[in-house]
Parts: sequence; structure tokens; C-alpha cells
Amino acid sequence: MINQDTDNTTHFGFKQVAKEDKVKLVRGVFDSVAGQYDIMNDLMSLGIHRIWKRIAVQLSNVRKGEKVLDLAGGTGDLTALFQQRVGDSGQVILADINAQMLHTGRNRLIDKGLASVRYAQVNAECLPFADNSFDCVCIGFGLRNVTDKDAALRSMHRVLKPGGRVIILEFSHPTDKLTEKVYDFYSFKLLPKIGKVVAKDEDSYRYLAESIRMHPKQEELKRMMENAGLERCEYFNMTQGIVAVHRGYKI
Amino acid sequence: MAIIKPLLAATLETALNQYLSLDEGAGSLLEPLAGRVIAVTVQPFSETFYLCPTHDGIQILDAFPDQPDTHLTGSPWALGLMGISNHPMRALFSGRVSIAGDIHVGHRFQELFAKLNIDLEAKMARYTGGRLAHGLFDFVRIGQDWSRQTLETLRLNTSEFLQEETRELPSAPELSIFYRQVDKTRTDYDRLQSRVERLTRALASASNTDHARLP
Repeated sequence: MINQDTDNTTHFGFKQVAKEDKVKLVRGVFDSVAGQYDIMNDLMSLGIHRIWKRIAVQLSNVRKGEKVLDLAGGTGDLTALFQQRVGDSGQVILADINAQMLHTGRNRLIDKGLASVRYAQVNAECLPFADNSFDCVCIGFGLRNVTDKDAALRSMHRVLKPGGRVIILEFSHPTDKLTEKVYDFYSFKLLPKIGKVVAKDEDSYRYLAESIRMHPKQEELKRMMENAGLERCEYFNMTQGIVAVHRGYKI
Repeated sequence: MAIIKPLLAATLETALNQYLSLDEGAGSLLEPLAGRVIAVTVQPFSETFYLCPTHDGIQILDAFPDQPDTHLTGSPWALGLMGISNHPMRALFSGRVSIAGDIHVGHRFQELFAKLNIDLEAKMARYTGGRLAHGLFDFVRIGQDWSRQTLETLRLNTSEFLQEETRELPSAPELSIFYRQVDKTRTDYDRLQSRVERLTRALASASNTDHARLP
């Protein structure tokens, strides 16, 4: 991992903080943005996040009747897409560490008429589910906020059924210099300003940009997945690597 | 890693399910296939898609960790022809499409497309009203009839020109008489050949008998 954390500290954006404080700090960020989360997503990505999510769900190869765990599910965008694919005979669990985000997500999904979704407030590092329970575990734009990513990957591997797959949809690192320059300008100069105007919270959106830079690169995350026991790991870059979907199987 | 394949799978899935939704009775055709997995490998790209029929549609996957029930391999052209042809087995026997695994599932899958009954006029009437839809589809039907009749007239005129006016080609009855005569000549030849063989054998046996009687 980039700038591998020392024993008792980890990164929070570009800052080093105590490991036990990161959970509280991340919670603070998401408590602050929960209400404006969807509007901000649309504004920041110009609506492309909907395409990224659709592609991630397609890559999950989830079928009718399967059981899916949507970790860091937030406001439930991915859960709604998964629910369409698994149908009434399958099951989707929307899980998030943040009660406020989970609450917003639950209200939104109930408003959409998706009553069969189940909800759980969980920490991805120690999932409270039995071994071999899920056909697919997905974490969308959430892994970079997890303090111990290796523990989270191991935990995901444990709850997967043999033949099941982990899908990680996450901001990643641009594959060419020009995109990198434009992306840096956008995320460090423009994004906090948009956050200040729309969500009245400049710091949270600065954290967003910083946490993306601290997230492992595509190849590094692939190696971490393999270390957690996942096999046939591969990744798919989208929008010149700004976002990547990693996929790995439990064989 | 290429993102094209999953994107293509997603697009195909949407298009296929839109197409299936045009027939309200598609569910009953999908029912016997629900839960099966049909792998389709497109040559020469060697890319495989996995089609998973459910009770109300078909899901398309870009990867599948288990063994599919049926595996079809062929060029997009051959696979497409197999899907719409009245004689799908011709594609199999001619070797343009190969099938492995449960052939019954493959055949049922092909039948699904053959048995789809799509009433586009009724679908369109929902949005435009019955009168406009009927008028438009009448126009399409008249167009189809006109094209069919025009092609038939062209065919008849061309054959008449070549057979009756320029006499480049024989007419169908003349050709039929010629074929009958060829058949008769071939049969006569076969009959004559058998008679000659029989006579030769009879002469040979008579000559052997004469030799045997000599002291």
C-alpha cells in the first residue's frame, strides 16, 4: 500500500492519524455529506457515476436468485441495480458502517418500492456473516475509507461462497499524463469549491480528493486481492483509469 | 483489461430483453430454459458470452465459473442464420456451427426465437392509437406486397426474355423433356450392359461344358 501505515497510524487524506480515529473521522465526513450525497455525485462526475455503477454490476455477473452483499452501499444506487438482477428469488443486503448513510439509503430504496432489500450496519473489516454466505460481495467507492483494507478483503473472501466474486468499484489512478493533469486540477481546485457551494462543506470534498490519491494503484490493489485469497483477479479501467473495477473469484 | 466485452454484454442484454418483451407470451417459452446456461463462442474472435435465461428474460454474462449446459461455437453470421433459419440443423450438419453439451437445450433455445410472436402493430397502437398504427402498418404491408410482386414480375420477365426471345436458355418444359430423355438413355444403357454381361457369362459357361465333354 502507498505510504504503508506505521503500527498505530494510518492516513486520512494526506494526514496521518491514529488508526482508531480514522473510523470516527470518516464517519464525520459522511455524516456531513449524507443529505447532499446524490446531488454531489452527479455534479462531481457529470452523471458518469451511473454508467460506472452499471458496468460494475454487469461485471459482477450476478444472476437471478443469487445473494449479494453491497458493502459501503451508501444511498443504495448499486443495491437497486443488484436487486433488479437477482429478482424476487434473490436477496441483496445493503450494508454501511455509517448509520446516517444507511438511513438515507433505506428511505430512498423504500421510496423506490424495493421492499425486499435487507439492511445491516457493519464494519467491512469484520463482517458479521457466516462463511460461504454470498454469491457476490461488492464495495463501491468505499474501500479507500476502510482503515485496514487487507482485513476487509480477507473478510469479504471469507463470506463468499466458492465460485462467488468480489467486485471493487473505486476511484483509481489515471493511465496517462494529460488526464492526470486535468484530473488533479479538477479534484484539488474545483471539487472543494463545488463542495463548498453545494454541500456547504469544503473540507469533506478535499478529503475525498486526497483519499483517492492515497488509495492503492490498480496493480497494487490486484495484488492485495490475491494476498487475501482471491483468484483470477483482474481490473477494468474506466474513464482513462479515473475509476477502476477490480474483480476476483473465490475458487 | 478490456472493458468492451462487458459493455457489449450489457448492450446485448438490454436489446435482447427489449425484443423479448415485445411478445407477452415469451415467459412460457423461457420457462423450460430458466436456470440453464448457454455459452456462445463467437469466431474468429474466440470471445464467449454466457446466456442465462430466466422466467422473464435473458441475462448475459461475460464470464461464468462453472460448466455451461450447452456450448455453441460459430461465426456471428452462422450463429445469426441458425437463430432465424427455418432449418437450423443445416448450420450444425454443415459444420458452420458446432454444439457441445446438452443438444436439447440448444435446440430449445433456437426454438425460442422461432416461436416468438411479435405483434408490432399492437405495440405501436399503445403510443399512437389504433388508427395511425393500422394506417402505418397497412402502408408497410402494401410496400412489402408491392416489392414481392415487383421482384416476381422481374424474375418472370427475365426468364421469358432469355428463354423465348433470345433463346439463350431452354424453357422449363423443354428442359424437363431433355432430362427425361437423358434418364431413359441412362436406363437403356444400364439394361444393355447387364444383358451383355449375362450373355458373356452364358458363353463362358457353354465353352467350359464343351471342353469337359472332350475325351
